[in-house]
Amino acid sequence: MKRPIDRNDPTLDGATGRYSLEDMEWVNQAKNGDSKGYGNLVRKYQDRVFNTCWRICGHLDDARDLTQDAFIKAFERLATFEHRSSFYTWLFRIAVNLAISHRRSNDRRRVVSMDAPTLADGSQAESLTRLARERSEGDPATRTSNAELLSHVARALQALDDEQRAVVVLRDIEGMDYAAIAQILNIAEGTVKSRLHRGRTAIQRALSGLLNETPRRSGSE
Amino acid sequence: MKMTREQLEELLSAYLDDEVTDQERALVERVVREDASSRRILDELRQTRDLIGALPSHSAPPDLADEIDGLIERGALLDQPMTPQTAQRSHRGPLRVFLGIAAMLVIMVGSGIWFSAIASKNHQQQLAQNQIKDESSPKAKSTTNEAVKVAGESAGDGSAYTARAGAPAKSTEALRRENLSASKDRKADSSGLAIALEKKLEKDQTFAELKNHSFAGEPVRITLAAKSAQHQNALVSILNTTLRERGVEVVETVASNETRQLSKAQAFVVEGTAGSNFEDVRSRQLIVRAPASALYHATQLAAQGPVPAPLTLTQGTTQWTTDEALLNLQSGLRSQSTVTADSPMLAEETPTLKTPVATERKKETAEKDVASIDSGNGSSFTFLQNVMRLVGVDKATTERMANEMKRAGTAPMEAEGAETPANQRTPEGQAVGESLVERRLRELEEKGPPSAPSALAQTKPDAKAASPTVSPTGISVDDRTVIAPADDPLITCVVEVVLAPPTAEPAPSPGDKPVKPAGPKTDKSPSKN
Repeated sequence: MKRPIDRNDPTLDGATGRYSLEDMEWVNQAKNGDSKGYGNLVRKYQDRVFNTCWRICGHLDDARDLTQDAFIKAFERLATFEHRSSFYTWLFRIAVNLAISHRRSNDRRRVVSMDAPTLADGSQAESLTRLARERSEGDPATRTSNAELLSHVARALQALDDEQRAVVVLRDIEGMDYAAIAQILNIAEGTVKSRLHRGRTAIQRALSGLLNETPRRSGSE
Repeated sequence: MKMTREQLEELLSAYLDDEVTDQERALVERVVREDASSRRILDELRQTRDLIGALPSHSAPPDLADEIDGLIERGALLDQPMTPQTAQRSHRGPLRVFLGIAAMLVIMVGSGIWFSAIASKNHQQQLAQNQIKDESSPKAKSTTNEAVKVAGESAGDGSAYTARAGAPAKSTEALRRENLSASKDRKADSSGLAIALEKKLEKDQTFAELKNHSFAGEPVRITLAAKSAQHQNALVSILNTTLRERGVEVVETVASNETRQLSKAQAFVVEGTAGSNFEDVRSRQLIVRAPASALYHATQLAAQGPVPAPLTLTQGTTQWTTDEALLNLQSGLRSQSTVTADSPMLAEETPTLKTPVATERKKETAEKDVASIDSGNGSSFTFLQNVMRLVGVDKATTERMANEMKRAGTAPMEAEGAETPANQRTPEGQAVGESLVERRLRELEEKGPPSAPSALAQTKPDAKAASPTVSPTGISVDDRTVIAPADDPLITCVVEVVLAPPTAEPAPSPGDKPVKPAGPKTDKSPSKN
């Protein structure tokens, strides 16, 4: 699994979206008329924004649009961005709020999206199963078991309410610390803690009976 | 007071994430050791967390970045809002390729206009702020004009920045109002949530970006506003020695109960809770990061007395305004009075330094706190550890260093209440009072006067001549204008501030119960099921 951000690990700087002088430079370049600066920011963060939007909204098509909207909104407001927060945090606040808002306004679509692929990539559940199968090790039976279990996890994640899901995604998938999550969602750290716990507990309940067979993962602790 | 089961499980969940205080960690570990059901819950939570983390990630579609580039360019060219609807249509539209090519052909002209507008707007804001300042502060008129002029000259190549203080509070407000007004039209077509978000961003942007910044390898300035001369000296000794061993340049170490220098361009709270020795006192360690000259200048101002107004730092078209609450806190610390802070980072309680209770507590526990460096507990160690973490030293190494220092007796221990000099000297005998800035400016002074505003520190000659106080850098602090060299580095300042607990909140109950409230970080009072 992805570990929480280790501030002491210089290799994670920037790549994980931590505050970076590089970002500041690119933002200033964009403000001063050099569009390459913003292009660099897009390419640096597009995967993380996209993945987060996908996990929150549950659909690849929507995640694509939301990612696009988030970057454009951020660009439109770039003149008001004064480096008082990291660009990454600022961008994620926009993206996560867009994703939550979108999810709320498309509640019916949310249910459908898990089983009705509309892109070549397929639905989240399908894509997830495929990726998990590719990544898993061991015999075919184990791979299938892993993929199914992760598929259950993904479904349980989508079944959470919006607030809990956002916190779980930002923490357990994106590896952000409580303070960063609190800032992005504009809530207290104590609220992050309680929502995260409730979210994990709900997923745990949904997986009851399956948890005896933990998938084999590579690269985890 | 016992915790409910749910509160305990929340704590277990936070423990998994390493988001607990030392006190809470000890509590969890004891509970897990003694209670099999808690141990099982912890295992299940860990398993669930690992499963969620094992979910595969998905990269963005390969053409997404180009698509965003195209939309931005086209929006700039056509001067139309890039609404989500526009965006959605465009990436599926048949004219996409044609529009992209057309946009590329004229992008140089178009984007130049668009971005010029941004730059122009920033410049206008700066001028507006200057105008307000001129109206309300005749004394600062010439200084401010100078600052704006230099900032304007340097905006093109970013070769210099200016730092100035003394702008009335309404300058900041005026600037904020102008920003709100300018973005009103853009907000009109945004969703309610986006409006709320934008307002939030404009209203109380905190300074958390530094929390995710790696300070490894950067020069560090450490200010200890610590609890006693004893552990100030111990910490200074440890920090100076170990940080230098790690190749970290400590540009200045200030340790004094009297000189609580605090100013900021950007800051964040490292730690929210003091160690176990100070159960009724909370400490906050602020990391301040600013261009070296600007930070030094600000601290010089602060050392002269309360800073009545925000400090504005300008670098090219980027402008920060210092957090008023922190400057107010600085004033409060100096006068040892209670200060009410509006800043989000300080809004949880009213900071009170040297309250009778806190002072008494310090005296009672100072030796214990110093000794706690040995055992890796207490606020002193927490502070030390946090500083070390910033520069890439892990907890175990920090602990070992602290123990070695203590055993070797290299950490000087002065008698309680002894006077501590404001500026310490490093083990090498270097006058740490001479900061990187001072050194640089002295070198520049030796070379002769500057030939260009971007070259080195300058002051307005008339103002400097009239100024009764000149800082060691040669900067007139009354002038309140400093123009620093372009290569002046951003430096880091670590400040520890001791805060008394809110009076309305009862102190954590003592005792050694298996389960008890999580201390100051507990969000609400626990209740029984």
